[in-house]
Amino acid sequence: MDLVHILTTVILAAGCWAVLCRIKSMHPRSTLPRVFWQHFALGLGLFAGILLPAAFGVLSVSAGVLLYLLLGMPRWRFGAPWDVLRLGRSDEPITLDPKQWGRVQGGKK
Amino acid sequence: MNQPPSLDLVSVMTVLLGSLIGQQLAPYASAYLVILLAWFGGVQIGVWRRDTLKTRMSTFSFVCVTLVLTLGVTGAAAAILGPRLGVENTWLLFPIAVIIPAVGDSWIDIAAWTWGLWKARKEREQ
Repeated sequence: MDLVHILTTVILAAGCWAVLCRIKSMHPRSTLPRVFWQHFALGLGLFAGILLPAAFGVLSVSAGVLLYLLLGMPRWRFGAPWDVLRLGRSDEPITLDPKQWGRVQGGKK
Repeated sequence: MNQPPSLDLVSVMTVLLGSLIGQQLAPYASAYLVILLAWFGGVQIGVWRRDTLKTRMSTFSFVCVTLVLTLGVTGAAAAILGPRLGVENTWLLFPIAVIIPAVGDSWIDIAAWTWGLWKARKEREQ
């Protein structure tokens, strides 16, 4: 077991713990199931990366990350989600482009 | 006549690991690999289900306790349930290892309910 392997294991274990801490702050009644399943897939991929040897470990981590991104795709459908936008100063109005207005107003595209 | 290969997770893992770690170690490693993977999936479900306001056990303690329980109980439970359900033990390792941590804190409620049922049955018999 070389230094790279040990570092990889430590980083993957830290990633698994971070995912568990996020899941701990979720609740079945208040959190969207999709968010839970995103983190479930990511955590399982990271954990399998610790256990599985060589190429299988890389495959599982890659699959976990890809599933996390795919499950989060609807949030990015019309651009960056509103909660990641950088807000202006409190005395300046926030300007939205037509696509963002469409998301605010709802209805057909 | 050749029998079709067993498609349970443990057998598949044994084949995959056999070329990497040798045929002697592969059956043992594959069984515990499947148990550990299922355990982590179950832990994630169990942590999500927990009511953090009511529970006194920290998440780290929950992870450790469920790991010990899952590693200790899964094999035995599969050996007991397999013949009763008419399936090979290896098919049951994954679901049992998921269920034990996924149920999590609710095992205490299940144990209390089972105890209450048993007491009521004993009182009726007397």
